[in-house]
Amino acid sequence: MGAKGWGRRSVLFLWMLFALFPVYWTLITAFKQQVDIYDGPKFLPFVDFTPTPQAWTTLFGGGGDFLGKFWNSILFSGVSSLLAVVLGGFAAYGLARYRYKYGPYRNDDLSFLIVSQRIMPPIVSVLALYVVFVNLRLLDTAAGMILAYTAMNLPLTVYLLRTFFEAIPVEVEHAAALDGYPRSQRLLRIVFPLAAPGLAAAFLLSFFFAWNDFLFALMLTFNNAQTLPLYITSLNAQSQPLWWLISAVGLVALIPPAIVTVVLDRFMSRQVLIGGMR
Amino acid sequence: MEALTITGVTKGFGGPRPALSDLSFTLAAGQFGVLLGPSGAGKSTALNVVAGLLTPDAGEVTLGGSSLHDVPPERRDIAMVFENYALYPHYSVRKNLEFPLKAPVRRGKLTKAQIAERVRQVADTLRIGHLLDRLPSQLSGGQRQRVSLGRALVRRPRLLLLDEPITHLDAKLRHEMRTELKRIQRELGVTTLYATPDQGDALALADVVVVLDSGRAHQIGSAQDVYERPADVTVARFLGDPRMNLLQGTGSAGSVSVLGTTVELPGAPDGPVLLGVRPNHVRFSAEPVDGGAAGRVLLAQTLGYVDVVYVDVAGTTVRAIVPAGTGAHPGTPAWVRVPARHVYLFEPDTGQALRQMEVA
Repeated sequence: MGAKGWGRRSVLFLWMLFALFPVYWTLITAFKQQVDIYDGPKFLPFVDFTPTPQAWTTLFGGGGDFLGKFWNSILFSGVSSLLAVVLGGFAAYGLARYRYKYGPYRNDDLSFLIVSQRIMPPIVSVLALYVVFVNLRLLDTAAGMILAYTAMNLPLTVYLLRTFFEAIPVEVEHAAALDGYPRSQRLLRIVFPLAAPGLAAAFLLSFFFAWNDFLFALMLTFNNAQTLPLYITSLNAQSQPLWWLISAVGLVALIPPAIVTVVLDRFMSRQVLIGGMR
Repeated sequence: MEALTITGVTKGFGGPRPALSDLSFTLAAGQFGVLLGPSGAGKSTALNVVAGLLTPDAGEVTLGGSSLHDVPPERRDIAMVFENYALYPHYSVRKNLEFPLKAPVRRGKLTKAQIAERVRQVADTLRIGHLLDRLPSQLSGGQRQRVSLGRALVRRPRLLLLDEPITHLDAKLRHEMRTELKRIQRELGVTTLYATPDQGDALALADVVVVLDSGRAHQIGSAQDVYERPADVTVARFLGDPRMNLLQGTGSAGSVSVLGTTVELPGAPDGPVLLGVRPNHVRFSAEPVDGGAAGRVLLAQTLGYVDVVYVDVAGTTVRAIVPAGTGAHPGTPAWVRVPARHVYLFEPDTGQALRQMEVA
């Protein structure tokens, strides 16, 4: 290894320290007591302060509703992302492979129409959504939240997946047809695996959006269907943030997106795809 | 081995003229048919209609005596090799070759051992046995082409369609694959329809040539037929390299005057005609000759074994093939003569052939 290699490594090492510090800080804060937090910065457990599992027993030790919120977050994010990818996938495949004509609308117009749903800021649509939800009795329900997140994510997945499907040469599907595979089988064995990186990316983006959403949860839930971001803001006592609890929840909230990313990253980096298509 | 019959097939895509209009021809069982035409002639459209990937606006395709109307592509048992090979990029070569054999329509017909044996056989025939565990992205163009052909042949289809399969290979490989295709097709006896813009492919491979242009079949016949007896100017222009000279002439009283000379052609019509003569039949001379038209050499190209000389005769360029090393230099005077027995005549407006050359 030359000097250049070591130089690169030390730069990367410094960057890693920089990037990981917030996580470290959150981690030690989750084991601090109130006095350790407000009594000036303390960096090293067992040296600066004595770690205590107080925050964790509060979260997982019965009585609290943390687990319920956590489950809500997982359920809403997971199901709505899955729906957005499946429904968006069908829409995108249609837009990529067929020519539509609805009045003056052609494929590109339809695509734009779908994406345009995301042009206005969510704060605008959420007000209207609130009224709709009140009338349909969807406020503070799991179904309502899944519906809202799916609707919010669909334009994105359609837009993203259309380009992925268009990149698959139609001849590959034709070849499968002539090889004796009916349409459903062609989708399952050829189109789906070839579009896997796109499907994974679309799922990830949808999942992150739903997982990190605050606004929708704020407006459309109040108790049963609350999610983690909202739960975190409720962790106050006499307008004093309960930092140790917030940190503990924050750490747990990191885990599902991290798992999803690690799992789906394997699909996204499948680079065998480009070669051999033409 | 099945006969293919195409009757009155028409297909349009909403353009001003249909991509294919009223195409009819027949391939007997085991025959090698070539659809020959420039790009945009409707070759791919024709193949896609036969494959069932496109539904014709009118007309019918029958294979082995039964109509393919209402038969979806996956049930036609027709194999196709695509111009871009269309291999399954996420499968190894072996899986690509197995894919048609494991299709739902053939489920249970072959055992695992039989499938492996078929794959081994076709891999041997095409000499791709050493590539079975590679991915398509790890293959060269020629290798992909072979795998693509293997995937089409492995299930012994009723009909094989080839859409410009060797267009993208380099010249040497193209000649090799051309020979090999013919050999494999003969061995397997599979009825084959091959689309190409390359007249060399057509002449070398075809039992039946269908010359297509602008969606219309201009002539259907053997390679010899279309080359020696072109039905019209389009066919005459398309076959032969360098291509046929087409010269403006005027017929009167059994002779045609062309390039300021007179060619005795008993039965030639009166009035303007298009006179066709292939470059290899044009007599070229660096000295004045009887009945020769005087001109000037524009350009001489060598093909190695012969030279092609372009001669300017009063504003008309005449192509002539001369023995290599004749030494025609640009700017030198030259004489060309059109021998009567090798002359084609075409009606100038419709392009229909009026007279064919005499075949010895």
